[in-house]
Amino acid sequence: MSEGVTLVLGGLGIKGEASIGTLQSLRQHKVKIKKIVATGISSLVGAQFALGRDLDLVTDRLVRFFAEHERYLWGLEELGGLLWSRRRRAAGSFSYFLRERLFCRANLKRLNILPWDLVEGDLEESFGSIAACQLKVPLAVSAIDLTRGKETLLEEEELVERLKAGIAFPGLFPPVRIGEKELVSSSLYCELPLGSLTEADRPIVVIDIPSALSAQRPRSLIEVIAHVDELRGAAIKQKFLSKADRVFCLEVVKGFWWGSYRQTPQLVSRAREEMDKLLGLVS
Amino acid sequence: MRIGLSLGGGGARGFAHIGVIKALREAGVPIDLVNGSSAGAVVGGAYALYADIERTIAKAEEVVHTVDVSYFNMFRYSMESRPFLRNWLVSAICDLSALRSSILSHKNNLRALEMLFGQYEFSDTQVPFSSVAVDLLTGETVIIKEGKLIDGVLASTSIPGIFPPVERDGRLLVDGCVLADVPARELRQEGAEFVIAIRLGAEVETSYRNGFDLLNYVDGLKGRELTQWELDQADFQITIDIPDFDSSRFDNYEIAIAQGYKVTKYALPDLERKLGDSNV
Repeated sequence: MSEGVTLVLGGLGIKGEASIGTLQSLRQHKVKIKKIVATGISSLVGAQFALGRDLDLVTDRLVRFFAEHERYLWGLEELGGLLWSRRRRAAGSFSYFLRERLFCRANLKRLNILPWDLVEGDLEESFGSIAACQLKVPLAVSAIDLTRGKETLLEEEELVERLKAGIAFPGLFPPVRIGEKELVSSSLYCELPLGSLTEADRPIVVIDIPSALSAQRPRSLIEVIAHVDELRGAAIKQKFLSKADRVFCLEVVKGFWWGSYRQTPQLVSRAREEMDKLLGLVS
Repeated sequence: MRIGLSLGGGGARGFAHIGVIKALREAGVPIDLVNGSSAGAVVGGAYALYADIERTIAKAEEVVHTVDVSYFNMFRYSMESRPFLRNWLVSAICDLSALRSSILSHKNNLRALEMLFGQYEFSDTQVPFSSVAVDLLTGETVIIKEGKLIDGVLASTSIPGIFPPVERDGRLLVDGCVLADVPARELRQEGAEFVIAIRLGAEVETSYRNGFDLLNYVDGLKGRELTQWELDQADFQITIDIPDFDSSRFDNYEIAIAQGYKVTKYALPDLERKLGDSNV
């Protein structure tokens, strides 16, 4: 344990922000981390942590980002244009939301709901000038390489490109091209990026930010397909968890949904409290 | 030692299972129990019922020539090659998707399964047989081994989105391939001590044109990962690749049967060695 642990961070959609609270708690408890493996928004948070930045400021920045861009994110929280019953379904399932948004005559030609322009400026500002050697903890971002059809860990690539691949949720943002690779986020493949980890990464500590499976009975075609997608994701997560040496499950954030960006501060503080409690139990 | 045969799904590729069973029986490999998902459940159920591969082939041919069970998976067809059909399907599905749970009904499937299984029950099969489906409400795989064969197999063949889920005993059942493409683990639960798993090789569709394709691509990768998990539970696995074969059209069944037979014949020496090592 002297080298530290490989920390695995996941969480679907906005729920990745819970990693802020988690990392604050780990920092306070002086847990030694040899490598961070993350995907989705957790990869952004992980990068900020790896640079030694103040995570309270990261929370403020995210809150500000979502407030500034709210009008572009109309689909993420307001779910405008959807019937009430579908809105409830979309709130519960990221997969359903993406399919519902992309599944209509006009949109079936679209590759993505949001453009990269929305986030590129902020990413450049935060990470554009950062060289890999400036990271105090190595950061591996998990993504799906569409050209090979495999989950892959990005460890050497330029940080901004790595992070873009981490948040390129299929259907939400366009895929990211890095050299020969065409990449999307692995979040929808598995909430926890454990697939590519090996024995050399042990001890592996996983922070599970669970999603509640949609409790509603699937009725329409898209609901059925999205539900199947979720079931498969849950099964894969269950399989991959056997690789972990230690799992900290943040059950208290289960109730937050994937798109609740207005609840960022609450999500972060609940995650931190829970992580403090779990680490307290361990020590 | 009880030898079990676990048959995977794959639409019309499922006919390859007939060739597999034929080759195994010719070589004298005993089959003490069978299970399957989707097309594997159809062929497995038919073989388990008749325990006679020639009769199974005759029945399959009769069904194919009587009922049109072909289906189109619209997302697999390119805009260039089938513009009219694809656009028509897309429009029709968009209009109906809010109301319907699937593109097609079970009408033709039920006719085909009725011809194959009649009113026979799982308890009537000469070889113990179970079909595997997935319950959408609990996310569990469900082993079906009681009741009418037609009901159990229908649930196992309900491809999500293409066919409606089947309600049974408070469950909402869909194709076993969702979580267990080749249900080797489930066959072990049924008492198989040596599991031969037959996987119908089908590559994940890697081209995409829109966000919906991308989501399906990632979903396909999940299916592949879960299949590998199941295959790891088998003692011996055979993968039947049938190049350029369309899984949604059932009229080329002879090609699939021949390929299944050929690949299994090729794999037999290894299988016999493995069985010998296991003192079978």
